[in-house]
Amino acid sequence: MRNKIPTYTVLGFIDSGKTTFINSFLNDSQKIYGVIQFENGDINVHKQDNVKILNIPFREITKNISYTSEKIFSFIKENNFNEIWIESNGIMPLNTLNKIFFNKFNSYNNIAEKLDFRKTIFITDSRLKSFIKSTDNEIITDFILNSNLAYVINNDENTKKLLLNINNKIKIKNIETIKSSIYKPFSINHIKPIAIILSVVVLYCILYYIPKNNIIIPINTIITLLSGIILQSFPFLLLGIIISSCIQIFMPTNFLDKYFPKDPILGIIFAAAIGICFPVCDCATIPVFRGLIKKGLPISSAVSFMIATPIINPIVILSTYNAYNGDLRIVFLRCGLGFLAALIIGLIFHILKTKNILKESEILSLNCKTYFKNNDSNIIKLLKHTQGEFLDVAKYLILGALISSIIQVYLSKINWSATTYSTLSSILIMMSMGFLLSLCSSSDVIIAKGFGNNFPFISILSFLIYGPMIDLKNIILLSESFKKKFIFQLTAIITIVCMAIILFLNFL
Amino acid sequence: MRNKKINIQNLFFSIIYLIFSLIIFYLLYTKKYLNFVTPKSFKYLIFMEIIIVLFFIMELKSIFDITRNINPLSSLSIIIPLLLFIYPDIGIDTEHLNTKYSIENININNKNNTNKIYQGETMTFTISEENAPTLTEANMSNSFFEKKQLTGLDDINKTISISDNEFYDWITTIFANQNKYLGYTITVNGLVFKDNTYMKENQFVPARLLMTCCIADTAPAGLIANYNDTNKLNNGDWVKVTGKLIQGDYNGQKGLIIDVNNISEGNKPEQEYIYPK
Repeated sequence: MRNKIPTYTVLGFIDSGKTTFINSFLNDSQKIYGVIQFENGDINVHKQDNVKILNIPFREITKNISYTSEKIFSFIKENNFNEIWIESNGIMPLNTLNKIFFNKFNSYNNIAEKLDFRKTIFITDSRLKSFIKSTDNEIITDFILNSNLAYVINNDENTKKLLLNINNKIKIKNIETIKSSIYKPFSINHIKPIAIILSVVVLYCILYYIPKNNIIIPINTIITLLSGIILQSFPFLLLGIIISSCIQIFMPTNFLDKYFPKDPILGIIFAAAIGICFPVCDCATIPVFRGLIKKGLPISSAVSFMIATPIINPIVILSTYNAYNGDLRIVFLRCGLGFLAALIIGLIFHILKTKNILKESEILSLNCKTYFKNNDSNIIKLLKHTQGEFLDVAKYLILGALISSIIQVYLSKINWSATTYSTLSSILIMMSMGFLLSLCSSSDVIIAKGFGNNFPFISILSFLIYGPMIDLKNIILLSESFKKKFIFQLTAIITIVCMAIILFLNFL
Repeated sequence: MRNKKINIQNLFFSIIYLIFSLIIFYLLYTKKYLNFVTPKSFKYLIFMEIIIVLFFIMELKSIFDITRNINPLSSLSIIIPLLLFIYPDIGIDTEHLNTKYSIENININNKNNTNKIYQGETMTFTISEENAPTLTEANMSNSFFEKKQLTGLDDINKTISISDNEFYDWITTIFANQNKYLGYTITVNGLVFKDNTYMKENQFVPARLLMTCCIADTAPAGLIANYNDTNKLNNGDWVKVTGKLIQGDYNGQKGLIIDVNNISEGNKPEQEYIYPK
């Protein structure tokens, strides 16, 4: 049996210049080329003796996939091709293409056994942006995600940026370099991740053999702290992502429109109050926040949900109650002020009318097409979506946890009792502590109590309110899917509102 | 999309999920997870284990798939924790604890305790005093002994020998019944915790570390001990301390402290941390 035929797939929307592109490759007179076109482009493939063309109209596929498969199979069988080019446009989803080539329905087994799919090239011009914004963007997004190479016709920088936003693995080439890239057997794409993963392992091995009781860098303490935070927050992160995935997959699109209060003010109050039934800490609320934003919940409501939940949820209420020996006043102060702050911050976002807070790449994956295929069952969809989001988000959590455990080690060296602080400076110190330490909202009370001897109660309260709302770890987690401008805005507003509430309380 | 070729990436992901789930299982089975988090986390970790195993099965089923849209670098989200969990020398140096020793630490999450034992001027939590449950010493100790009979008490010889498992219960009981236990000789095993900002030079705490949520929030707890050779002790060493409970003061607060007679080398308890309920 002869070797598999090298096969190249060219994807792109109508009139993007795919046929011209393929033509430029059909110039080796020694080879016999087969071109399978799933459309009728304006420019036809050169009619050369060594080029055979099979044209398949779209309506034929919709009628009978098996018939198409057989047709292609005999086309390949009858000719002795050295190279096959497949051309498909944005009308037909990639999924259908896969069905045609991997069809086991017919007696011929599958065509794929004869073909060696080497490269998938996505061709586009500057119209990409408008295409993606249109309702049919899933097909194009799917194309981009499944291509190894991209060629931008007029070298438009914005288009390139957009491509990389959707698929950061895609290699964008110009007309000179694309030829060598296409025929290069092993893609350099695979080397970079392998190198990074290997270097992490090597770094770990170095750490493994470094003296453990190092005074300058207490590695074992940092690693222990980091592992503790990870082990503590991973299950909650997973839980949050599962909830958010359920929102994405199972919640009907019009659900929020139907059941969520239409009045924006009422919406903010309602969203902040839901927190009381979410026994999760801040690592879990951020994925849910992202899910709600994607489902189209107004930003003001989603923000007040995200801010209120880590403070007013049952676990936190209980741990605060316990830590202060059943002192309800502290519980009411913490939860009440947290709730109030969430309402005010939600209102500010309502007044500001902030829009477009998601990164471009996030907008594109609105329909979750990046993580699973349409024909998966619901449970597989849920798992794949959870997995995809978890892998994306968890590395940010690890980074945040690493920074906060390093800060924790060095903050512990400061002798807080050496000087006395004014109320304002102690509030500032405690707020920055809450921000930097990035503690879980259910355990920060303990740390707060530890500081209690050196700082006035009002500053401890500021720590208890501000810490869960926004901290270093949260910012790093948010930066995964939100624009920098929004994160900055959010941090600034939360800080100012918390400061104002605390100072007002102090004034009373 | 299926062909006969194995998708290396999916295979790789399924392998790291497998290793990760095995490590979590190992941590749970050997109870080593208690070095990082509290027993409360057990159910959450089981939940995570189930999800990771599902991920593994899902990846294993798809090793013949052609397409994959997940960035291979994302595997670091699993690989880094995996490497961290198998790091051999875990443990936290007491000098890096963010919560310094405080009398307050012992009251953490213990509702049964009276609120103020040490009546000092430096206490800032005055708010809580008014609402504190007013428990007399008698019904305090009753409620304690009803719940759990503490061992090691010898009323005739006036000695208390505190076992590792009862450290927390004993310390809270002694705190709550200071008049009763004044003059008793106690023996306790703990790690040396020195803090030259709050304590006098001859003071240290034979302490145990309390963990409320995870290792990042551990706080030392125990009774202050007066010992003239304190500077010869190293922070974090395990010691067995025997001494008489006397009236003393710590950081301006009055209360029971241990007047040390004898110090010998202690041993690290099987369960290093204490997890207040």
